[in-house]
Amino acid sequence: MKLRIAILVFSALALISISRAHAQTANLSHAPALVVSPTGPFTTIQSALDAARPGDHIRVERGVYAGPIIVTKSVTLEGENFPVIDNGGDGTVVTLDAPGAILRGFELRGSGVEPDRDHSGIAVNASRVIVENNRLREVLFGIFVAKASDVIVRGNDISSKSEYDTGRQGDAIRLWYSPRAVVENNYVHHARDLIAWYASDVIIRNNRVEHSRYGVHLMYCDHAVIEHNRIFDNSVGIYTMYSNDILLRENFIRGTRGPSGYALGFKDADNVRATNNVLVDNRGGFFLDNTPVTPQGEGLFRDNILAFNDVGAILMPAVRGANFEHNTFWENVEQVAIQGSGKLVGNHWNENFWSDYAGYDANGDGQGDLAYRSDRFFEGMADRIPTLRALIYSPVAQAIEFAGSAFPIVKPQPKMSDPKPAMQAAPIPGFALPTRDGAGAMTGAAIALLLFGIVSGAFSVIASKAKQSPTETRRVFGNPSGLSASVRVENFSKQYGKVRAIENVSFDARPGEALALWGANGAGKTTLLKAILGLIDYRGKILVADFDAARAGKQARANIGYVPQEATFYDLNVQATLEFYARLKKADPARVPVLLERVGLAEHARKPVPALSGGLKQRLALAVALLSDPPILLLDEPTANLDTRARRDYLALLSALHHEGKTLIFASHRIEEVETLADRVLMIEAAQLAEIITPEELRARLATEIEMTLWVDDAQRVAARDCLANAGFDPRVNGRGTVIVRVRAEQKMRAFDLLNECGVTIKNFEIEN
Amino acid sequence: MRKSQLPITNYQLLLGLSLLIALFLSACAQPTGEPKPPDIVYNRDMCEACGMIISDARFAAATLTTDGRSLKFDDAGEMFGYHARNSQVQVRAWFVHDYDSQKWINGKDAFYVIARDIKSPMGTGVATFAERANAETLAKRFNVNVLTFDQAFTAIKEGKSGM
Amino acid sequence: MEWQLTWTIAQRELREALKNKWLWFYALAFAGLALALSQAGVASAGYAGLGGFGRTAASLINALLLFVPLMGLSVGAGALAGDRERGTLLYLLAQPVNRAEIFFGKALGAMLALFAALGLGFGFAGLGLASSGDGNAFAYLSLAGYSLLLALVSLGLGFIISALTRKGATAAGAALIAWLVLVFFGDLGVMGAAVSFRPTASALLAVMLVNPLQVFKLAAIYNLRATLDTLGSVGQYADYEFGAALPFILFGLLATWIIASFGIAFALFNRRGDL
Repeated sequence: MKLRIAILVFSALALISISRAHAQTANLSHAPALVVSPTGPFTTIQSALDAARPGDHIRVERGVYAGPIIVTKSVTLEGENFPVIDNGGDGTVVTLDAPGAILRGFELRGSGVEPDRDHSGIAVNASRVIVENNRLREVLFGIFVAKASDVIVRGNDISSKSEYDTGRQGDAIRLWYSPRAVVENNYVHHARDLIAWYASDVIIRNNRVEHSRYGVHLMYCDHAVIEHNRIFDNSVGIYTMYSNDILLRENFIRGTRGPSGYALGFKDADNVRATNNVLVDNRGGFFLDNTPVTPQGEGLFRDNILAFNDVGAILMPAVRGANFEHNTFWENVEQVAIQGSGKLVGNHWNENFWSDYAGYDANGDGQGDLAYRSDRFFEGMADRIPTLRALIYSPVAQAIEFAGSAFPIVKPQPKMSDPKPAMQAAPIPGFALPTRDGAGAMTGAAIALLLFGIVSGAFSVIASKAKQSPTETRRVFGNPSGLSASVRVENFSKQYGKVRAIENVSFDARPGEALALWGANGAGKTTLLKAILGLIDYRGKILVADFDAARAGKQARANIGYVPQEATFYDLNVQATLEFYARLKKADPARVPVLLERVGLAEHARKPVPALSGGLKQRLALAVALLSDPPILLLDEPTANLDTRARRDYLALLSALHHEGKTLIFASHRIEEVETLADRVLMIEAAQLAEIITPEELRARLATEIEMTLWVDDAQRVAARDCLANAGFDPRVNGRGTVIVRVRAEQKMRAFDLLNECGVTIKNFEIEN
Repeated sequence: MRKSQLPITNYQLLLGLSLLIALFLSACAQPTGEPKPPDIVYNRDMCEACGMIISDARFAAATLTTDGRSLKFDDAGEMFGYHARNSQVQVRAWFVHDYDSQKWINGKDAFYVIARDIKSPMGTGVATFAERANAETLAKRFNVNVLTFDQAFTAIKEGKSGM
Repeated sequence: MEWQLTWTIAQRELREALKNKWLWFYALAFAGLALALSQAGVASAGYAGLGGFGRTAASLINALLLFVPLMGLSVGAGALAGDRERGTLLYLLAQPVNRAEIFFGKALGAMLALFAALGLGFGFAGLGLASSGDGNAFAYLSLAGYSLLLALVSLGLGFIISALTRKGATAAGAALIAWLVLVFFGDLGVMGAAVSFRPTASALLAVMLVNPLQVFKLAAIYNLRATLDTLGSVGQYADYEFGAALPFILFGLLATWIIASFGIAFALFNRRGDL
């Protein structure tokens, strides 16, 4: 059974092919071919034409032939392997003046450039001419069919003069008063228009038009059928003007851009049907102006897909009587727009799919139970004020749409409504199915971006390659540099706004000297330290190891190890913290373990700094200060935040450093620090340097006087008083048999000693502050 | 707190600056006394009447209206057609292009040749000339007469063309 | 300025910024949104593929306009103010480095952190797009490139805020206000002006170009479409007026914003006596 069917099919196919072959042979047999080739028998096309009789077949072999060619006999000119006819930039290349003439398989080049003389690749001036499978390059007009009926233009590949912009190029195919033409399977690119003027009953199908101006343009053409064309990246898709009874179907139009970038435009067109077209990523999908024209005229737009256009359908406000049925409006930035002011009335929207439909289908009949209304707020504004379109894709436009839909207080009048919107988008027809050819490159791009991100982030862990040059490597330990380790402050003043923080201070810290800055809170100690570090502006002069703190702050700071009152660190561990500052100070990383040991942090090296106690943090700050082994240490209240034990250890460390020859300047209000460390004390009072004294003098001043009450025998009371008075005290005798004397705290033993020497026995005593 | 408000001031400054720029630009765009033909951006601008792209300078035309608008047309014939249909639009000045030099000329002083086979963008077949002699040359080719502005307007209005 | 010191500071800043939860939250949110867009495409009966990459990217622009400035501003605003508040800035300044090294080190570190977050965000989003068959590698890379520029602009603005504030919280608040101004109020102002004054396209374009976010938007759209006609008359005006010079102008404007914002921030930071 199967076999019989196969045989049947096979024999049927064989029959068809035989009959076709027969037809061709028959055609050839009554018209023997004249052969043109560079080597003869005919070497020019014109000579073959002269010799030919109507109905002859002229075969032209590969080669380059000069134009122009004018065909006045109804012959078939057939090129083999695209022989070239070149006009060298003048006139029209081939003119077909004989009815029924056929031109097939040529490459035509180099027409003239005068538009009002219609310089073309092929001029067709007679009916029933066939122009087929030609290649046209560098011609002004491509195929110009003028006043010739029943012409077929098929399978040609046409581009215009490449040096002109589209406006100055000629039309790729132009039909002029040429009824019943068929234009099919042509590929038009980089030309002006594919246009028909005053040509009725034309069929334009299966053409591809790219990078040109009008994909298809109808002017005063009735009864046209335009189908299966692919029209990509042009200024206008298919524009139908002043034409009636037009059928547009299954065209695929994409990337139409520019002010009039309409995929399907209609101006004064009546009885038009646009069905099953796919219109994607154009400025506008439909554009309707005065279409349909007459009240009884038809304007049917059905089963089209309009996706990702700036506007799905643009209608002039005067449009009446258009029917939009079963279309899919998919994610157009604006689904329907009215151009200019006015309201849309008298058009019908039925069962279209709207991707932004927010309703539901409770009864499951495939249609939404609520009407779709095009009443977006921002959109409505942008229709009225076109400049506002500039704000689309902005969050503010989205926010306004959202607010408009969430709080419908100022709902605009809907532009249109579709009472029963479809719930399902139409499937994409095969001719418009997208390809996935971008995916490979896209994966590559994505991976490149991932790598970019990873590399950017990885810089955080890539060790700095910069090597420490030997000259930059500081001493591992020990001797200060040859620079003077002195700090000199001359006429230093600092104001914050109108408040004087400190005024006219001058002093010197000699190398190896330890200076304490003594004063109440707010006396200006910290200001002075910041100035020495070059962190603030000031008047006067500060030299740190011969560097001006203001002008060469970086070099000055390179000689200073600074320990703040309460050091704050980044969230790193102890080791990493030291390594970070070692790099900043260009210190030898080998010093890090040495210093950890020295300040007693070796066992804490891996701990995160925030987990350290205050005392350990202070040690860490000291270690940081010592990284580059600077000759000068600047300390702000070094032990203020430490407990007693930590304080003692820390002071011992500082004391050792002082003995190694470091110059120390530290702000303090603890006598203990001053006594342990300082050689001299700068007394800062009321924003001034009051005087410079020794630590002992400071202690003496600090000690407060106390009142001693001494019980002695009555007999010895006067002697006791005189004894103390002679030694410079100011004792007095009170009625209860006691001697009262005010002494400074450190002198209380001296009172006892004196009385002992004077032979006064003290029976008892009391001390009061 | 005082400092934290500074960025806003900063932005206000920018806004102020932008308004200044805007004022400056809009001042530049003000029309001047002597009527001047508008700039047509070829291959971008659209015809006022038909919405087609204006590409061909030889046929492009424009009118200035008394209310300060400028209307651009892809075809001088279409300009006449538009104003014939929209008589409420008051025209202050008419402009067409010289067919040969493609320079703007005053429409009232131009010479007109109307022939069906002059392939103007809208098929009205109107070519316009600054010099009568050049108009004569083309008119002879199509065996028609050279027209004045008023004659041409009337011819279009009465439908002696493709419109 | 010594490169080694700058780099040391940059590295530390980068490490800290990479620990910033918000940075990753924004990057993740962006990548998630982009992935959702691509997957929504898969679920749309092939319609996403029909639109080509231009459409996906156009909806990405919206997300980028929200997230990228937020990332840049918040990282930038924290960079100096947080350090100042903690006291670490003072400590850093007391080291033998100058202010330029600190400032540009921090800027560089913050920039790398943003690049890392954006690179990973764009990378994962791109994988998602590629898997749904949607892609134009060149356009996507350009979009990512412009986003990096926008990130730098907002980082610079964040640094200005940071240089002017003393507290991390104040800086973060100011950054949020700046973001609102850039993203919403600025455009709202433009919109109000357009409605009440009906300015010409050129005037509106000039006003728009003041906002770096709009410059980014124009650049990104031009990059996708080679025309701005999507933006209506303003876009068409820009096309007429500047034509092929447009991408260079927009790039130049973004570059100017970057240089100016970092310049101003540095000038502010470089004033001494603010500690």
